[in-house]
Amino acid sequence: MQHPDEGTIHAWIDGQLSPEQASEITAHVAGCAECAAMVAEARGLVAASTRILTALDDVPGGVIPGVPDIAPAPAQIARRRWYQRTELRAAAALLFVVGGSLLVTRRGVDMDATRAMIATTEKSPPAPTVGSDAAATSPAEATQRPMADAAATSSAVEAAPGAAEGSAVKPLGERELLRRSEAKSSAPAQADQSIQPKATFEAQSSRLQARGELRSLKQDAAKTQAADMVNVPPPVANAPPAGAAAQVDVPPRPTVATPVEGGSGSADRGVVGGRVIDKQSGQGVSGA
Amino acid sequence: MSDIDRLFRTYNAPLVRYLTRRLGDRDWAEEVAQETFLRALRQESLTNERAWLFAVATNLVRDEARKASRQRRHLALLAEEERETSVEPAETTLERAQEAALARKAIDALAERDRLALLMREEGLDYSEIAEALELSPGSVGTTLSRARRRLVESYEALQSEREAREKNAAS
Repeated sequence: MQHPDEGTIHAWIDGQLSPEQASEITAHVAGCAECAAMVAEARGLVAASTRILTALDDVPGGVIPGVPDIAPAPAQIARRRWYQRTELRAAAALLFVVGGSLLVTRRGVDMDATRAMIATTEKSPPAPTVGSDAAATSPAEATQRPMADAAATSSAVEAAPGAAEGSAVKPLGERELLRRSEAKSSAPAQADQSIQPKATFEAQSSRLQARGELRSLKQDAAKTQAADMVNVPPPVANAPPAGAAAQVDVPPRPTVATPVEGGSGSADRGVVGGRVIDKQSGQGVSGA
Repeated sequence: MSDIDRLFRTYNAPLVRYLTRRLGDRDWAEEVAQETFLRALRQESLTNERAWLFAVATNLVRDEARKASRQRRHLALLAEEERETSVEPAETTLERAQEAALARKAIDALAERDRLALLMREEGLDYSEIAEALELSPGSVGTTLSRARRRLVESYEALQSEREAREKNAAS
């Protein structure tokens, strides 16, 4: 055969030739002093390269000041729009409760008015994804939100009474409203949804935690907890299932194998009888 | 053990080492590796996971590097050189720092494709995986690697003799 080129010799040393090709080279090198010298040189280059590159492992972190964040996934930026902001949602919900209470107070316990109100509420869409644009684009529109939301809102408010002064003023009117709305509107559906946002939040949180970028969200987290019971964020389109995400236990600073312990990949390949053996698998590394 | 756990346990160490060698900064390398695993999480399935991970990590670095590679690499060099000259630790540490600085210069002297192919090979990727990750033809990987190794060793040795000559001048 012809003399193999340098690339082929390296592929042979790396154990990346097919068995047929490899045995051809083996036979040729055995009888060709020139090529045997090339093989010897190539082996030297392979070993020296590995040695030189190992020196690069002795590098501390923080060598380069101000390393910017790797561009975050666009989805995570787009995910939180302004109307999804916790404060705005809380404000909209509060306004609804206060407005509703005032309405009831002024008209007294006018049953007709209450019924009419509930009726209008039921006509409006049940909003399975409450984060839809119509839901909280403006406070005025927010008062039109389904009564079902009021149910969740009031219960959240009761949990944290200090948060909503309006409800403290007229608890009776509000309770009355609440009872009726629960009876008449689709309360069960709402109950299901009140579980979902938590899961979504946890999924998001664990993802972001893994990125070590949780800082900004953490500040919101306490507020969000209460507000998430009230407001159902829209299902996140490309978020992974909550279970999968929660299992990603990527620590912010994973322990990295030390250079010594890890060694280099090449160290895992030994040369046995002219063939490169993968020490991990014990198999000869065959051609591509 | 979930799939992402397995991926992380199997590939984090080689990936971080690859990136550290490529970038000269372990913190940065770890950030890129984490981002790579997060992206893997979003994939439905990975046909060749090792090639995929190395390719994505390489692309993340490349996207970032496009913006500021020169300044950053220059800073890394300066930092290494500063350690080399200003710090006076035990001799062995100094020697190792000097070796690291030489190695950094030598690897930076390679063409990008040669450098990446070599670093991937050092992490045990086979030729088909390297070809896939770098979008090379499988047949050209051997040539790429042989060129990369030769140039790396040659420029390292040139830098080494340069330094020895400098030291000799300083001594006399």
